[in-house]
This record gives sequence, structure tokens and C-alpha cells, in this order.
Amino acid sequence: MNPDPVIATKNLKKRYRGSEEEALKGIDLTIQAGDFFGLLGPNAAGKSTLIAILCGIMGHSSGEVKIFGRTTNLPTDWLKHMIGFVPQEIALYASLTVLENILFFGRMYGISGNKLKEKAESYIETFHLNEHKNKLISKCSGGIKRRVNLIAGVLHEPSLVLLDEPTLGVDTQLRSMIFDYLIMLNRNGTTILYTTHYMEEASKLCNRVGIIDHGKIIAEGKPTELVASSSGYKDMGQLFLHLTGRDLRD
Amino acid sequence: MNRTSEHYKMRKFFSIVYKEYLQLIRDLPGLTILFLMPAVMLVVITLTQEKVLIGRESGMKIIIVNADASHLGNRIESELKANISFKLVTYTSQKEAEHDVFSGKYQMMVVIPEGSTERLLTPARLRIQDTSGGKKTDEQAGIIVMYDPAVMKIYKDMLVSSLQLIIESTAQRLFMEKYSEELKSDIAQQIANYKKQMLLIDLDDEIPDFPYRKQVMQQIQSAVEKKAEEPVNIKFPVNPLSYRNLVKIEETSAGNSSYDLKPDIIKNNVPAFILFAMFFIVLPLAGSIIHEKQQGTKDRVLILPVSGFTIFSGKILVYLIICILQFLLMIGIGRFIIPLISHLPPLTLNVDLLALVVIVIASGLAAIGFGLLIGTFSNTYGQAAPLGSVIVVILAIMGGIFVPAFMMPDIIRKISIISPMRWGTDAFFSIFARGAGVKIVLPQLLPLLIFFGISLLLSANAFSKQK
Repeated sequence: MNPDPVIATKNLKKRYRGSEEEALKGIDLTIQAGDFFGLLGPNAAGKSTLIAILCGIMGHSSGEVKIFGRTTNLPTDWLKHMIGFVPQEIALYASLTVLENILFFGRMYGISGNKLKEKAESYIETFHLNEHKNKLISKCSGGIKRRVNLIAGVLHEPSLVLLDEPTLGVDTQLRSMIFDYLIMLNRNGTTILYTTHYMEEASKLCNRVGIIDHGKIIAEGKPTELVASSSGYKDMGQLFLHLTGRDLRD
Repeated sequence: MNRTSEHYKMRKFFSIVYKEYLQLIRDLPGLTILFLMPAVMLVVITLTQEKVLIGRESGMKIIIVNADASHLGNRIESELKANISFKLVTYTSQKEAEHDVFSGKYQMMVVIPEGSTERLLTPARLRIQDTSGGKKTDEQAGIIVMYDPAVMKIYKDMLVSSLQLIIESTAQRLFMEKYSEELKSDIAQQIANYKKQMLLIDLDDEIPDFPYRKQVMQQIQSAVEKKAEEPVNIKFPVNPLSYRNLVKIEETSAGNSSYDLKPDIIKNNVPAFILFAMFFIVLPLAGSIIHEKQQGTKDRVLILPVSGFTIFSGKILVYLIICILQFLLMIGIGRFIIPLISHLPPLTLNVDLLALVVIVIASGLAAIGFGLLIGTFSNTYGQAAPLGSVIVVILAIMGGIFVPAFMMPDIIRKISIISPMRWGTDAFFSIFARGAGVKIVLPQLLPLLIFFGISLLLSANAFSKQK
């Protein structure tokens, strides 16, 4: 067992170049191995910034970030193998087919030959992509793109998966399929950090949640405990509105 | 362990190469820009230049008024008729001819006044008078050239230099004939004067030199001795051509003297458009980098266990292959297509192959470096496409792609040294036209490689940098 938490941040701050306001204002967050952590927050609360820093895509202004006990400023190949990232955008090559995209990202993680083919076929089967595997991504529907976007981030079986709103704009059927898959992944020992706007998703999937707003974690704990500890709120949705307010965001 | 790690790196590298290859071959507009556009431009511009500079097809319309109707007049008329650059129209009236030139019906006219041939033989040689811009003609001056002010200087120069050549050669021929007659009568006279004198034959060393002097003198000597039956001292008349200031054109060229040094349109245009084609990879290459940024694949790529240099190396290899294919296409057009559809000779390829390969690779790398820079430092394709195209066109103009560098004004030629395209075209031109080897093209090769190195460093560093 790794004694270090999977994710540990201390007083993490981020200020974008040219901006006067900090996007993250001192985040302290600890996520243990096996957690399914939901990061909830309104638009522009700092969710995607936090995820980008945790992945190593973005640097931070001050504070400390450790993933599996290691810093993310100059992530090593080992750390990159341990992390899977599913971005909010469809980060795929539009002029490659579904299968070509999956094979490319697999190869980049060092998977090759029959092992890669079998893995790719298995994911294509799991996400019902058989009919579409030879379609160019540019010709695929939003739902197919979302599925391939997810596969590209988890194909190498990382120990930590960071998902930035993976169900954005998908229908109920696909959302349910993604939930089932993520639950299965978590049961198999993968730690998951999941950002979403949808409170019911977080309540259903996550064993712990954190609510972030204006660059600060304003609440953290088990969903049921958070609701119970608040006076007069029946569910996460009401609690969320109470904590973040009703003002419209960017 | 290390071998396995290298093996994985190579696998990743070739996966990137394969991905880039797939993206590129599915990008039809990109391929059109890379291959079709420069190929069409090479053919069209070369054929147009052939027509304009050599005038093979249309020919410049010239009126001739030949009032001389003697040796010189007839020679000028027949020589200009035979010149494919001109189409000759004969007029008898100078006034009508002038009217038609100033009305724009014809571009130029040549008037050979009466008695021009005779004047040619007088010490005050015939000269060519430029009567453009309403200058009054001087009837005693000789040949008159008159032209439409709209006519390009190159045509005027071509006509005047043709006339000068014809006058010189006619003058030479007439002088030789005259000299030959003088020689004959003078020697006959001398033979008569000295017939009875018993003198040793002593040909004057001071006699001006002329072609076949020795043979002529020997023949004369033996003929005289035979006729006179006694030694004769012969004085030769002075060769009239020896003191005449005949035009002497001396051509000198640097480089490999055993090589065909004649510059031609093909040797200038093929290298120029190789460079132009190569630098246009800025559009698909920058486009691919920007799409990665915009689609978010760049973020995904950044967290892959693969370095920014490996990612860029994959791109570089694919685009370098494209540059080599562009080079082969342009060479093929210069060697096979253009000679088929024009009167131009095929591009000769008896060049230093090592120098050619090295310069193709260096030019390709410089073009790729430029594409990487534009792609990395532009935020949108809307920024990169016009910026890249405009810079390529400016670099092309400065690099002598459309107008050879030697024809540019001094100041522009000096500024053009900053264009990587200039380095490339200079090197290609040295290889194709001067038979240069690697050592000779080093001054162009090194800047091309340094430009690529700096571009790669800046781009890979900026690409891999955390936000």
C-alpha cells in the first residue's frame, strides 16, 4: 500500500497571467486511494484549473501539489502512466477514425501489438462502438466522441483518473453507461476525481465531494453527511445553491 | 532496460509519424497547397517568362523603313526578320511609320536612312540614335530607333543591341572586302615598282596583326617571288580594322569552368519554386499544431509519457518527406513537363548529388522550422493562415522567387539576405547553374540549419511549457 494520499494539495494558488484575481485561492485537498471524489462547483469556480494543475498541464503560482507523493511541476513518465485524464473538450484527432484514435493513445502509453488490439476491441465492445470504429471522428455524433474521449483517457489503466465533466451534453442512456463504467473502474481500485455541475450525479457516484467556488473549497465530506449537517436542506442540490448562491456565473 | 526504453521511444516516434501521415493525407486542401499550387505556378510562370523574355510566341512588332536598300539596310532587314523576338513590318514612309508607333499600333520602328552603307565606310562611323520622347531626328546621324514610350526597356535594349551587332558585323565584312581590294591593287603596284630590284624578302615586323597573317604573308611571298623571279621587299597596307574601336564582349563567370554556365529560366525557376513550395507547408503544419491546441489534444498530448521533442520529431519527419516529394515533383516538372510544352531545354541534373541532397534537407528543415514557429506562437488558424502566407510571400519576394535577386535594387538585395528562402535559392542556383559542391554552398547551408535549430528549440519549448 502506498502510504501517501493519491492527491494532496496545500494552500494551492493559481493566478493567470494578466489577471488580478486568483483563480485558486489556497486549495487544501486530500484524496485517498480508492476514493471516488466529486468536485462540484458553478461555472468559473476553478474546477478545470484545479484538474489541469493536478494533471501537470498547468503550473501553479504557489502552494504545494503532490500526486502519489510526487510533485507535478515536472511530471515523470511514471507519474504520467499513473494518471488518466478525460478533458471536458473532445480532445481527439478529428481526421483519424475512432479506432485510429484509440490505437494512437494506446501506443503513446507504451501498449502495442496484440495487447493493444485486444484492449481496443474490448473498449469498443464495452462502449458499443463496433459500428462506428472506422468512422472519422469529425463525422461522429457527440455521444460517440464522448465515449472515445473517455476511452483515450483510461485505456492504459491508470491508478488515478481525472474526469472534467465527462457527461457534458450527453443523453440519459449514455450518461448511465458512463456511470456504470466509472463505478466498475472505482470498484477495481482506481481513484477517481470527477468534476460536474450535476448534484444528483455526485450524490449517486461519489463517496466524497468537495464544493468549490471562487477558487476556494467551501465544503468537503461524504454527500450524505454534508446534507445531514446542514439545517433544512434535503439534498445536495439545495445545499449547493445555499453555499454558492443564486447569482449567475460566467 | 535502456534498450527497451529506446525501443518504446522509437515505437512512440513511429506512431506519431503514422498519425501525422494519416492527418496529412486526409487534408486535401493542405495537399493542394503543398503540391498543386507550386506545380501550377512553376509551369505558368516559366511559360510566361519564356514568352516575355524570349518572345518565342508573340514577338515584338517592329516597323522597318529601309531607305538605304544597300548592304547595311538589307542586312538589318534580313537579320531582324530572322530574329524570333521580333515581327517585322516593312514601311516605305517614315512619317506613316512614326504615326503608327505613336498611335500604339506598333511598338518600335527602325529607320535606315539612304546612304547608310556608304556612311558606314567613312571614318565617322554610323551611330544609332534614340529618338524617343519627341527628340528631333538628326538625318545625318544614321540608324534611327523610335519606340512607344510604353515599351519595356528590355525590348529596347534587345533591339538596340541586335542593331549594334548587325552594324558591327556588316562593317567588318565591308571593310574586309575593301581591304582585300586595296591589298590586291597595292601589292600589284609594288610588284611592278620593285620588280627589277634584287632585294631580300623581308616582311615587316611592324605590320599590324590580323587573322591568318602568317599564312597570307607566306602565300604572297611565294607568289611574288614566283612572278618577280627575284627577291622583293613588300610593304603591307595597314589593316583598317586594327584601329577601329570594334565592340568586344567578354564573358566571365565564377565557378566550375567545365560546367554549363548558361543561366536559363528553368535553372532559376525550379529552385525558386522548390523553396516556395516547401515554405508553404507553414499552412498545414501550423494548422495541425493549432488544431491540437484548439481541440484540446495538445493538453492530452502534454500528459502523455512522451517528450515535446519526440512529438515534434514525428511532425518534422513527415513534413521533411513532403518537402522531398515537393522537390522531386518540381524537378520532374522542370525536366520532363516544361520541355514537353515549351521550347525550353530540360533541367540538367549533372550536379553534385551530395550537395543537392544536403541542401534539399536543410531547406526542408528551415521551412518546417518556420511552420513550427508560426503554429506554436499563433492562437488560432485565422491568425496563422494569413500571417504565414503573407510572411511566405514576403520572404519569397525577398528571396528572389519571383524576380531573381541579381535584378533587385541594391538596397532590396541587401535586405533580402535575411530571407531563408534566399539562402535556399542561392544554394540551389549554385548547385544547378554553377555545379557547386557542399563546400561552396556552406554559407547558405549553415544559416538554414541554424534557423531550423533555433525555431525548433523555441517551438518545442513553448509547446511543452505548462500554462
